[in-house]
Amino acid sequence: MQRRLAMLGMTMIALCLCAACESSPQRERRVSIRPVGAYYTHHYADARDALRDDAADRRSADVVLDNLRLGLASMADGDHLEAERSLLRAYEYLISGGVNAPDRAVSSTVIYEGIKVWKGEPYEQAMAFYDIAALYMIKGDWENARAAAQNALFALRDFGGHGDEAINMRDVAEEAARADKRGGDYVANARTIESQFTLGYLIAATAERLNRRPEAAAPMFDRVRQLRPDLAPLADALQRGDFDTLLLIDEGHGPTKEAYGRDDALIRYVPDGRGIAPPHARVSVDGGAVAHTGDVPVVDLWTLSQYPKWWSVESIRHAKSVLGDVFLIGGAVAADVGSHRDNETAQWAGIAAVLAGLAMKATAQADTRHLEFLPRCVFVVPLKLGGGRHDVRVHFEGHAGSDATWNDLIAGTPDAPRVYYLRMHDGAGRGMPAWADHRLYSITADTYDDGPPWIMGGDDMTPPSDELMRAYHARGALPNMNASALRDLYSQEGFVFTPGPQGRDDKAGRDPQWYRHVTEGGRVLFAPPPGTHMYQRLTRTEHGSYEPRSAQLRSIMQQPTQGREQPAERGNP
Amino acid sequence: MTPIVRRFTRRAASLAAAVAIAASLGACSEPRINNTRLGSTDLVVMTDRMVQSLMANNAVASRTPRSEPWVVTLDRVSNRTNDIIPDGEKWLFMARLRARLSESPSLRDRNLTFIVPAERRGQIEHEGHPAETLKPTHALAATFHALTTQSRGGRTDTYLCAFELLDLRDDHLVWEDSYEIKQAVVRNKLD
Repeated sequence: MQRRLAMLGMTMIALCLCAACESSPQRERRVSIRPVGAYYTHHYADARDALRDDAADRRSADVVLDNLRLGLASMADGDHLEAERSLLRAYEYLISGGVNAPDRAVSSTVIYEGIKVWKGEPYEQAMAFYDIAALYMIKGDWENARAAAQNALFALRDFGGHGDEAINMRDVAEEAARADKRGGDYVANARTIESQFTLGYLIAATAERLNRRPEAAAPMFDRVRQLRPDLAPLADALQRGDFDTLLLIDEGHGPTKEAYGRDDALIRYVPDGRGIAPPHARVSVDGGAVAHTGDVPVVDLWTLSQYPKWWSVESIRHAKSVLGDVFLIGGAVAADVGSHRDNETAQWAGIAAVLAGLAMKATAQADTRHLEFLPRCVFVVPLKLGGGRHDVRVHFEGHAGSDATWNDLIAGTPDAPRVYYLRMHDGAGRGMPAWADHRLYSITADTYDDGPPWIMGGDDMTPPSDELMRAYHARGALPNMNASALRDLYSQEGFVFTPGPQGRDDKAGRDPQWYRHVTEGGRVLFAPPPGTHMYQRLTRTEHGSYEPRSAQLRSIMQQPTQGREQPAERGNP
Repeated sequence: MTPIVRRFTRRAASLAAAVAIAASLGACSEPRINNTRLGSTDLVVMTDRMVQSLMANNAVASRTPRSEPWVVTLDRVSNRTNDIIPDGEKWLFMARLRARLSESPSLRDRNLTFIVPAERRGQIEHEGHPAETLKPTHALAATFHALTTQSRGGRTDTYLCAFELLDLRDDHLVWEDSYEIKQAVVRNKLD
């Protein structure tokens, strides 16, 4: 009796200790709700602020997930420095072996699956590598883009030989349990198949072509044509290099991982895209529709996620194990208790059965953490834009909520195309943000129009440079000031010119003021690239007037003849 | 209760309690980074070996203070591995190579100058000659290759880091050498 009580006590203590562990479903909810909501209402700066501390926590079981979230939010927003830092932090873990120490691995098996360090399902990992590749494509670093995309081309597992058949997790788990009962090992015996990640092949091949290694690119383009004949025109265009601009478009809201079934032990991905036709992308440039080869999505994650080959071994093992345990223990104890109703041992067995049931209920729950910022569809759109800046409108046939125009895009050359990552979704039903039809503010010297800087009542927010000062002087603005003097003035106001931790490796370095633009409550005066939400926000939404902080600026503002002119009337450039 | 079920229940309960305590105590251990990327130690060893090899090369070793000056630009680092090598890391490596070469006591005796291309000066702390005042006569380039094998059990990357010193006046290859290193990582069921 005493031994039994002691055993029960130990179990209870263990369960209490488990509750103290960081990675619980409660923490999962606390971390994810705010940033996800902000991301899907186009408040990217808020999403990034909410994620930054969690992403820096290297002890967290969500370190990979939080860094991918932060990286994707930063990429959409236009802070590619923060995007690279975060995505590379996630990458370090994604390519690591034994990320979960043995103790954590045991805990995730016997206590709660969510204790394990999240590395995502194979489709999420492949997309994470694609996103890293996309970032390097934007930066024109074809070598690293190719290396990242290559990592997305890992082998898949064909569980139960279902191949291209979509099948739900309950069926897979039951099939696995039956196979194991016959003495096989369903999971370990899964056939290894070559990657079918078309997007990875396409990006790796394009990067190789841009690395001037067409012979290395050719087999990958061929693999795309073999896997997806409908993408052949796109593969042809990318292989020919007949473009100077490449749009990588993430459209819509990716699949949600949802628990279902007895004790929420099974998972499914919703929505199931097989019954919902994906949108097609139409593009117009400077008001005129253009024909292009990227109208069909290269990836539709609502559909891709329905196939077991894109699920992790652990998800299937967990589902199989829970189903098996329920049958085994439930059956044995029930039968035994049923045959000894009046005996003290049977009462203990009954208590044990109840405790076992409760414990199983608690531990059976499937881990539903997932990368919410993934899109439904990815489009790869090669364009020939030519010189100058262009307004590119992307319209989705079948999902108009994601339509938007991206302004001031600059083309590259066929040997060094400009690549843009466009994040488009319907903002939880509210559509893409409302951006003005014409430019309200300039943030680059070549788009500067007229008048003094924004801090002096004008419309220009370009970081100081010799080129900017020449543009100012040509328009009679700040005639007595050079770039260095203007930089000093901004510094007096507390501005910095590069977003990031400012050399600090602690909480102070994660203060939102070092990441937010000066018009959005921060201290950073920098020019995000076109094709990003921040570029659109800064140049095409109204900002309030600036309140001087330094004595020097206040003094300048009191002397209207010091080269400061009245701001020109805002209009179309 | 049958003896078999009783024994099973006792054993299962003891095991569950022990495992739960052990597991919960250690469940929060830090996520581990263990991958096949080139580390800083590899880069240190590699640059040291390359400096030794370059200085021992006949074409370099036979030079005197009165030899025609060589201006060597560290102009290219190519990544042909299956791993990301961010620009900062690439040029950190070149910066170390340049620093080690510049430290070499025999450098002046051989009338050699190492410079950094203008577009990379932001990434490498540059001392001595401003690059724009010197016209490069030679280019030193590094290329990282890798053979990657992956399986369910792990990943192996065999890196080959090849260096070339090219005479820009006639495209003559003055020196080449390489450094090989193998990195492997084992995966467990949760990777």
